[in-house]
Amino acid sequence: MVEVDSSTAYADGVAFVTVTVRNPQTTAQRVCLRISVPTWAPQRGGLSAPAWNGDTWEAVVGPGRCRGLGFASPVEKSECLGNPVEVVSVDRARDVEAATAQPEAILADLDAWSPTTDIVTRNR
Amino acid sequence: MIIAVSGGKGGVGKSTLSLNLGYELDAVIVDADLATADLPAGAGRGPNLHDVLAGRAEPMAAVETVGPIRLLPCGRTLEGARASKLVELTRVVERLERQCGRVVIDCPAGLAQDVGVELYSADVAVLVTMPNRVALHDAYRTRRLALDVETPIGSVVLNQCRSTDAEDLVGQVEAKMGAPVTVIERRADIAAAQAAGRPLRTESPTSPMLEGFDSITWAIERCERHLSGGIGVL
Repeated sequence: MVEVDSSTAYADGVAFVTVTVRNPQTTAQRVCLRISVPTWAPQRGGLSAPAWNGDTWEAVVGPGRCRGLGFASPVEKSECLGNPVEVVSVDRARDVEAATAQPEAILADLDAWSPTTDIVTRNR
Repeated sequence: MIIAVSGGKGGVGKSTLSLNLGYELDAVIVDADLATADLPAGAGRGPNLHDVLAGRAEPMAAVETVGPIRLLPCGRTLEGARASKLVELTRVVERLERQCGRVVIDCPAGLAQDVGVELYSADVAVLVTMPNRVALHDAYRTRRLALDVETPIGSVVLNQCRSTDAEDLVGQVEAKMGAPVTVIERRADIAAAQAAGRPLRTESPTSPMLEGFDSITWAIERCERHLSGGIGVL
């Protein structure tokens, strides 16, 4: 399973919900969440952001990794949201090995650091 | 809160922004450009970042007060650069953060392991770039690396703009980078303050460009509130 944590801030009749999805397992998981309140998903260039489709959010969370999402909802504080995020499904994702490298592996893959040739010349 | 000032390309104004941001945020500035340091060298008598990374000095012992800023200067020797153990950097900046609160890391140019480790050590990255294709491309690649090592982008700075070329560029860069963009114009007062090794606010307190530094500071403080709330969404 995955751990889903959410918090909500209210301003001017709008609820701003931030959610983190943590995958404690050792394999990547494809997570699908459904939002139980009217959902204003984030927009990018006039389209819903990647991973969003109406009131559902679906994305892959790498092993031991955490992903964040956020959305707004036209709900007053008095109508208290409770927990607006429901986990629909969690399945092992099999096609995403390359996209889920750990930061340490990414750092190890970078070019080795060394002083530039420019400074070597100046020091001679 | 550890802030990495990066951007890929050299000469875009990373050190200028680091110095000013360090002053505005009351942070310790770490000159982490191990081979080509260009922030003030301090008095030059005490230990520097090379010594700290080689295990010869404690991080706090190397922090100097240079005018109105607190700085961990970098050594200027090739031997020192070679003796520096990059893997120690994360531990060093975390110790500085515990003792001083905020740390600004002035990253070198390029996308090698030194920049990678510095971005990885930070809580948030500020990308500095210029309004030209090469600089924007490098900033975008730096953004990719920062996100790969799980460091969010708090702010993007379009530096050395002319007043004419910013209009529609800001929206485009903001959409591409997914972070608020601040425009800093090319101005003599900023260059003069940097040449003196001092922040713009103390050298030229009426400069209109201070508004730009204010908006970057607010963006960082907003990130700080998010992070301290335990939610990693910006």
